[in-house]
Amino acid sequence: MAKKVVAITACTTGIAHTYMAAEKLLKVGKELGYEIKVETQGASGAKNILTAEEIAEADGIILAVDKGIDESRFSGREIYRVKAAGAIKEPQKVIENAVNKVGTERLAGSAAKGEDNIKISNGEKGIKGMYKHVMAGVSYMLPVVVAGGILTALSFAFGIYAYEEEGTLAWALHLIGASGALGLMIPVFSAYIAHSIANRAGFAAGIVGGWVANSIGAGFIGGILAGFLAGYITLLVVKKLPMPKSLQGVKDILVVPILSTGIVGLIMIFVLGKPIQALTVMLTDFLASLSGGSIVVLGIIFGLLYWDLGGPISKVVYTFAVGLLAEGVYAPMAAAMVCGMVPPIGIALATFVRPKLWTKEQKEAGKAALFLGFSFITEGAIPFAAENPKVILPACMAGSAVGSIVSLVAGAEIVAPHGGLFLLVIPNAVSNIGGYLIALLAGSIVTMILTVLLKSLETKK
Amino acid sequence: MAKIKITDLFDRNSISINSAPKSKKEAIDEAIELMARSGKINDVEGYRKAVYAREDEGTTGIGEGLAIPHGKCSAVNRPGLAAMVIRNGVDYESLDDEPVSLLFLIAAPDTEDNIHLDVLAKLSMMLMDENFTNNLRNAGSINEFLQIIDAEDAKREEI
Repeated sequence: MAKKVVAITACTTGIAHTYMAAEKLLKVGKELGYEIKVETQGASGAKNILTAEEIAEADGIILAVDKGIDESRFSGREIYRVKAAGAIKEPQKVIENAVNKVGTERLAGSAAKGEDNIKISNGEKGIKGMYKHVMAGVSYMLPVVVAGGILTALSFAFGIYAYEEEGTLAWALHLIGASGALGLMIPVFSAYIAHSIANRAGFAAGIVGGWVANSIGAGFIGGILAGFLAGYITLLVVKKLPMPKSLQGVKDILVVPILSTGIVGLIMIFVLGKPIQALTVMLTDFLASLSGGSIVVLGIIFGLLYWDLGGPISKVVYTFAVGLLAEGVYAPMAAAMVCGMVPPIGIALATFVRPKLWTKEQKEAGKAALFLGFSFITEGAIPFAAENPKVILPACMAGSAVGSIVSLVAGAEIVAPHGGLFLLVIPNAVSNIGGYLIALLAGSIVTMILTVLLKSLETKK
Repeated sequence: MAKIKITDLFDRNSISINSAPKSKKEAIDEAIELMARSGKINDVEGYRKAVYAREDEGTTGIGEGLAIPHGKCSAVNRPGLAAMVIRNGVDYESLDDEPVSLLFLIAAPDTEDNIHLDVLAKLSMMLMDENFTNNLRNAGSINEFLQIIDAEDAKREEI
């Protein structure tokens, strides 16, 4: 069987040498009897992108590059480095050296395990492949969540309403953290799920679909949906839409982005948006019908509805509680806030008590999640939930339910719609502080125990 | 939308099939003059700087008598090409130290205008074919020069 060679060519301006080197390598490679594929990273973007599979199977890897490129895909592999001009001048020598490992260097890292491999593994099929796409999204979303959450929380440190005054530092931090970073977290998540599935072509539909998911209040689950829709619809358009080769450029820059983004956005709005709206109305009526009934039932319902961690269903609970503030009913607000704080705190505690169950990245995220939980920024739990919903969601629902029951039974009341533990320093914001803290602690411990338990069971399997 | 041909990026005034520069500098400067005639350059000195800066990074004389100097900067309004056939060749500090007899100068604006960049990329690839470049060197007129490019351009389409 013919030996396989892969190469990347890239020059500084990206309009001439990149392509000349690619052409030379392709031509000479074929003449020498190799199966060769060349990815060009020129001024108009990457073309003929190498798949993880092609890289894994390659007998020789050539990087004919004059500028820094992302080399993480080649972690642990022997690569032959040359200037683009060198590949034009001596293509035969370059190819043979790469295959025979003459003058090659081994890149650090383990082969085909680098995290960035995830994003190019669009050949994966089934659940495992889907999981990888979600993980790719999570890894990009995580820093956005941490930055957004912490900066938002910092704005509360100036007083929970300090951010409302335009031009102040608190206002700026809140703008950057809450509107900026937390507003972008779902779009970034969807964008990189789509990117993982369909490479760069999927990005536009992914990021816009994610934004739409966010704006119709579809939460992180809407974001996952938008990401997958964007990825697969883009792939479909790229692969199935017949276009003459001469119009390829038009297809890539006009047809694919417009069609994929348009379709995904429309689906999100009309197919997903309407039911979410209807559901919201229904649940709000349902919650209203519960008031005056058993507080234990209300507590359980609160916890269960908080399952989507700040998504459309939890928004119903939150909005319901905020609405009651105006009527001078403060206990549901305390319970809702417990529901939103317990998930990140509980998960954070779980990463502290059983570090072995978590990756290094998750352990770091755990520390941030604790602080986010204290600040009533439920989003801190989302990266964990997106990665492992079967463990995290039930653990959080149970913890939130227990927490809100305790809060309601203890008669804790909160008069402000946000702020988390920052409220404690404000006189009269929280009544029955002791009861409120016990509710938080109880809920968080339940989430922690269940998370550890379920995750250990899963790992043993 | 009509497909863009490589020759669409050529201005007839920007092609010389019989040049005789005495040095690399003369060759590049002459090519820049040819390019400037097309009206696609809004700041000739700025563009010249970009071309020489690229040259300083490493010679664009890529061997086998071919040179592809290029500049991508804001001094360029629209993507353009200029070409020179240098019958007797000129020393260009090429990779293989052979004199250059065919020179293409590329001008690209500082945008991410993919369609035109792809057209330029295609030309770069075509230039790796020696039959093609030899035919260009032997072109008897500007018309013939453009026809040879069109023919090869169309041939590549089918691949």
